[in-house]
Amino acid sequence: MLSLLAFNIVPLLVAALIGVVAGRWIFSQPAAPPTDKPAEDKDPS
Amino acid sequence: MHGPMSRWTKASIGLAVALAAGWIAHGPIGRGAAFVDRTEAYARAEVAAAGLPGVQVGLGRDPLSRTAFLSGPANDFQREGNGWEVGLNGRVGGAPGVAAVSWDPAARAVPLIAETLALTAFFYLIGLGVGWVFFRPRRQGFL
Repeated sequence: MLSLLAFNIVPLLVAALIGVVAGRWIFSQPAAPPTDKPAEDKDPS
Repeated sequence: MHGPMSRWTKASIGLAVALAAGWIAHGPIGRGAAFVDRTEAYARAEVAAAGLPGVQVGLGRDPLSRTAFLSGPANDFQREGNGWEVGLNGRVGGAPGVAAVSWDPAARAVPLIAETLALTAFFYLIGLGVGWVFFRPRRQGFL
């Protein structure tokens, strides 16, 4: 099995990279919608 | 309309992409056949070193496998060896890449594609774990 792993190390690393990308897709937090009220413009007068 | 995809759906899509990449490397690119060719050459060198005329070895081809199929005239001692001397089974079984040895051409062998895809899925899961470590949601600090 180790020789098979060593022989296929490049495609296996590609699979691991796909896993990292999928992990980022799955676990990264979506951008939070803005919840704060917009700052009110102060009246200069 | 459609809600956000669940984590399991995303993980399944990623796994399918990784397995497709593993299959492309194994089949169309030819890594599977190249591995079997190389392993078969090692097994043949072991049989040649044993010096038994008429004994032949070949790896599974349909489907590709890591099982070495031996054939030819060899008695039990030549096949199994004894406590001091390794027989053909031990020699060929010790060749790099050989997973099993059989004298039965109809014996079942684990297809190489199954082993390759299992390894691919394992590496995908490792990558997924790395992705979780670096991209998981973190609690906000209290300071």
